[in-house]
Parts: sequence; C-alpha cells; structure tokens
Amino acid sequence: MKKNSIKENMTFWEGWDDEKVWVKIDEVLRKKRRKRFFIYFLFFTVLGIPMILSLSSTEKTSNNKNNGAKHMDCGVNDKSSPLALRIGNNSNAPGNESSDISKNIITGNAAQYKVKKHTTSNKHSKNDSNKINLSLTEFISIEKDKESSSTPIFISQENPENLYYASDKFSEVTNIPIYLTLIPESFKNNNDLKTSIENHKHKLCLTENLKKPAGSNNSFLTLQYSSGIGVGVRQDYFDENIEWQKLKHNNEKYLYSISHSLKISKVLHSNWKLNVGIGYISHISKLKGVNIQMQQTLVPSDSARYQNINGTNYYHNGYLVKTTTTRQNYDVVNSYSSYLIPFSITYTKQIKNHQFILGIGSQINLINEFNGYTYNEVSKIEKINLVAKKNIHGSFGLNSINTSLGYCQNINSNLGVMMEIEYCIPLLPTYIQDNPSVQVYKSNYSFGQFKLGVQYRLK
Amino acid sequence: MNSELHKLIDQCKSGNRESQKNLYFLTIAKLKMVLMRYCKELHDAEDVIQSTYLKIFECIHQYDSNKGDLYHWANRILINEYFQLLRSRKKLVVLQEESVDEEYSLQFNWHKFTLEEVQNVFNSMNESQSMLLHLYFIEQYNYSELSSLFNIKESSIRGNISRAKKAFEIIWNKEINHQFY
Repeated sequence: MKKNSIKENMTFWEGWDDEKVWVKIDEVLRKKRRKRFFIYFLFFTVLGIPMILSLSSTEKTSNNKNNGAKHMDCGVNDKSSPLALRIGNNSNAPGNESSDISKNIITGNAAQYKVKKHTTSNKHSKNDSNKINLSLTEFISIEKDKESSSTPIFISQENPENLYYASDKFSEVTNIPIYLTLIPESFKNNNDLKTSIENHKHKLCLTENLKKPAGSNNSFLTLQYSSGIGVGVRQDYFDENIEWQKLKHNNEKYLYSISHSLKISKVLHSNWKLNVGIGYISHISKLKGVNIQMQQTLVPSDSARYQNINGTNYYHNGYLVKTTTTRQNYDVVNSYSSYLIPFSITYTKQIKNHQFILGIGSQINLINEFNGYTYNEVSKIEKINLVAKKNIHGSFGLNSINTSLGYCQNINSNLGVMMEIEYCIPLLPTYIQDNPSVQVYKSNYSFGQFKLGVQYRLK
Repeated sequence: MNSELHKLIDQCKSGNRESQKNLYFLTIAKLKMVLMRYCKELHDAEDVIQSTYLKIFECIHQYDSNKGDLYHWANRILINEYFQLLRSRKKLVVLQEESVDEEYSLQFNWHKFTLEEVQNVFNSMNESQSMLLHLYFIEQYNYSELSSLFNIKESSIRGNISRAKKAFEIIWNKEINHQFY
C-alpha cells in the first residue's frame, strides 16, 4: 500500500508557479486577439476596399445615367447568335442598369423567359477614341417545351432614349426579348449611324469572348496570389564603439526570405492597375558567434613561508586562483517576420495571351515578430522573442519601395499563371529593441525575390 | 460570493483581461486538485492547465449558471483536455472490450470517508481502473460520457467499472479496513 501517495501528490506541484502559467496563458490569449484583429483587417482589406471602390464607381455612373443614348437594333450580329447586346457610353453603368433591365423584362412578360447570363466589358473604339461599355444580356425561355434563347433581329428604327423601353421588343418567333443595344453619346452626332455601327462590327459582334483573359487590361477586378523566395543583405546602423552591435553586424549579414501575398487589382486606366492586398514575409538569417565566459575561483592548497633573495620574508596563505574559461559556439537561425499590406501600381502590356507587367509599390508593416538570438549589452548571445516581450519596435509605415518585373501566361479566360522578379529598397530601418533603455538595433533589409503565383479574374 | 462570481463571469464573457486573470486565480487551486488525481507529470499538467483555461475563456459565453456550477463545468473541460493530451501523445489507457450480464454493486458509503482515504485505495489499483472509478464516482460521469471519453462501447464501460468495483472492494477489505477499524 502506498501510504505516502498523498504526500507525493502534494509535492507534485513543487516548482509550479501560478503566476508564470498565467503569463503564458495571457500571452496566448493576446496572440489570439491579435490574430483575430488581423483576420478582421484582412477581411476588410480584401473585401471592403474593392467594395468601396466599386460602389463609388457605380455611384459616379448612376449620376450620369440619363446621359442620352440612342437605342436601336443594329442588326450587326449573326442571326444565329443567342446573345443580346447592349452598347453604352462610358458613363453608363453596366451593373446598375442590367438589374433594372432584368426587372423590367421580368415584370413585362414574366412567365415566358428569364435572364440567363449578363456579362460586361470595357471596349475602346478606335474610330472616335471613345471608351464604351459593352453589356451582353442573354435571355432564355423558361417554358419546358421551348428551349430557345434570345435572338438578335435588326430593327431599323430609333427607339426612345430611355434604356428601359429596350425590353419591349420581342422576337416574333420565340416570343422572348431580342437583344438590347445602346450606343455611345458620340455616335449621336454621326450622320450615318448604321455605317458607324458597321465599322465597329468586329467589336460589337463578340458573342463569346466578351470575357477578357485573366488579368487582362480591361478586366474589372483580379485576385492574385503569389509565393516567393529570395536573398538579400542586411545593412545595419551600428556603433563601432559598441562591441555587441559590431559583432552582430559582422556575424549576420546575409538573409533569405520567404513571402506570401494575396492581392486584388483594379484597373485604373487602360493598362494601369492598382493592386492592394495582404502579405506575409519572413527574413531568415544565420548568426554565428561565440560566448566566452571566464570564472575565477579560489582553490585551497598548502600555505608556505618563504624568503626572497633580498632576505624579505613572505607568507603565502595557500589559496590559488583557478580560472575557468567556457567557450560556447553559436550557429543559430534568426527569423524576422512581418504581416503587411502591400500596394502597388502596375503597367501591363498584353500581347495575345502573354502579359508583361512592370510595377512599383510599397508596403505598410502591421505586425512584426523577431524570433531568435542576439547579443546583449555584455556581448553575450541570448535568445529573445520580441513579440512575446512586447518590445518590438517595427516601423509602422511605408518601410520599403518595391519594384517588380513580371510575366503572366493566360491559361483560360479567367485564370493565369504568373512569375515575377521583385526588388525591395528599404526606406525606413527596422528596430530590434530588447530592453528600451539598453538595446536598440536598427537594420535595413534590401533583397530580391523570385515569385510564382496565379491570378484569377473576379468579374 | 455567487453574485460576485456571476459578475466576474459576465465580465469574462465580454473579454475583460483583468477579469480573466481574477477568474484564473480564483479557480486554479481547485482545478489543480482535480488534475492531480489523474496527471502524473508536471509538464503535462502545465499543458493541460493552459489549454483548459484557453478553452474556458473561449467558451465562457456557452456557460449557463442555471445548468450547473462553474467548477463542475471547468472540471469537465479540464478532464476533456487531459484526455485530449493523452490521446495526442498516445498515452491513453486502453480499456478492454468486455461486457457483464449483471453489474457488480459496491457496498460502500462514500460519504463516510475522506477523499484522501479513498485516494489511497485508488492509488493501489491499476491506472485504468483507478481512473474509471475516479471519473465515475467522484466526477459523476455517466456510462455514455465515459464511453465517448475512452472511445469504447457503453457495455464495455459497464464491464470495466464492474471489475474495478470488485478490485476496489478487495483492496479496501484487505488493507484500509485494518487501519480504520
């Protein structure tokens, strides 16, 4: 029988410190809170900003909705085409009106048809250098025995300027709406409207390729994910007179980096795009160093009395000084990671399915974390985790300028594979500060990266 | 006291850090006492305590004071977390698949003796039996809860408990009786 088992159990908690355990729990809780904040932020960045951008553009266009646009059926499509085609000037919002059109159509003759597909795209008219929005609406019959779609028919008359009347035209054969056509404001002044439309026939008769390839210049929003690896150098701000800073600078020069980023792109103007997103980058560097520790202890031995050659008497108490030198070699890996918001402006040149991208941008640091080893004020290597200690002083702001050169190969209309070479020029130094009063270490990270990724056209 | 505890819990629900700290220091001693019955290694205990409190703070909005005591709720989380740790480290005791036709009924008045005295007997039993009886008699786990905890059939839990009861009675009669009577 184990009589002393209870006592054993009581001694079980020896060395346990409630306070220490709480500190660990608190640390994890804090990390979780920070992660939650980051997810909210990410959610806002990825969804909120594009939403605001699209809302603002919709608002802008809806204000100009009543800009006169003539409506007529131009008959430029092949009769076999199942698509309805609407051409509007740049001020006409595709999204805004399409929903109204659908509404009108459905209330007009709800039992017989419905909107099957609605797609939009920007086109540039070469003749009058006007930018026009193409909007295609395809209708299908919802009657079981009829499987027909909307068919374009040429109507040689000008309808009222209001877009909504467009849905009043029905095909006599299928009894579903014919395609809708709006023409840009500039066409109004053209004497021969029909000729003008004929001139644009090759653009207007797009029946399938209205969706541009992924990442194409005219695409509205593009989602981009890329991962990269790179090499670089650390440029330290160090004081020659401070031994540990000099040691750190000399022993930790080169770095490797790994990065991930998710960006969303919006076309600003023809070939120019604005990219915003979220990213993660980790710089890994090797620190080689030595800790030398000397310890002196008194060792007792025999005492002695002796006389030197001059006849002076001496007494030795018998204690000898023993010096122990401990040498520890360190070959350790340090990692400096950041969560950031990259943003850039890119210029894209498209040749068939190939895109060549030139970009310049910057990034805002959100959370910085340093894990690893550094020299302390007595030039001794010690391990630190700066996020846990709350003493990280990363620069919240634009800390670098990124220049990039990329290439994208379109796989299909929505998807593209891309590769990119990026070089980051530091603007502001990154602070590593272990103890606010003692250690401040500033470094610049300049590095080049090779990135691989995919991009997907959202709409 | 109860109203203070309720207030503390409400503050924890709103994510107040100071209240979380107070709740921790208020409950840690009791949870340590419970954990001590099962856990044999200090570093395991630290992991369990940490994950238990993280879970408590994460799920505190699910706690309903009308349904039961906070300590009882926290104990359940603690035991679940401990079993989770055992499972992840593949240290969980394996119970034999066995069933009994008739359940052994133990003639023992638990309220007559202190937990320490009973604990001494539990310590003389093998690990799986002691753990089962702990959970069944002291933590008031029912068969279905034990079955999901050990991941075996309910009938096997009945069999194992029956066998554990017999073992308990034998040890009790042999050794403890001599000391107390």
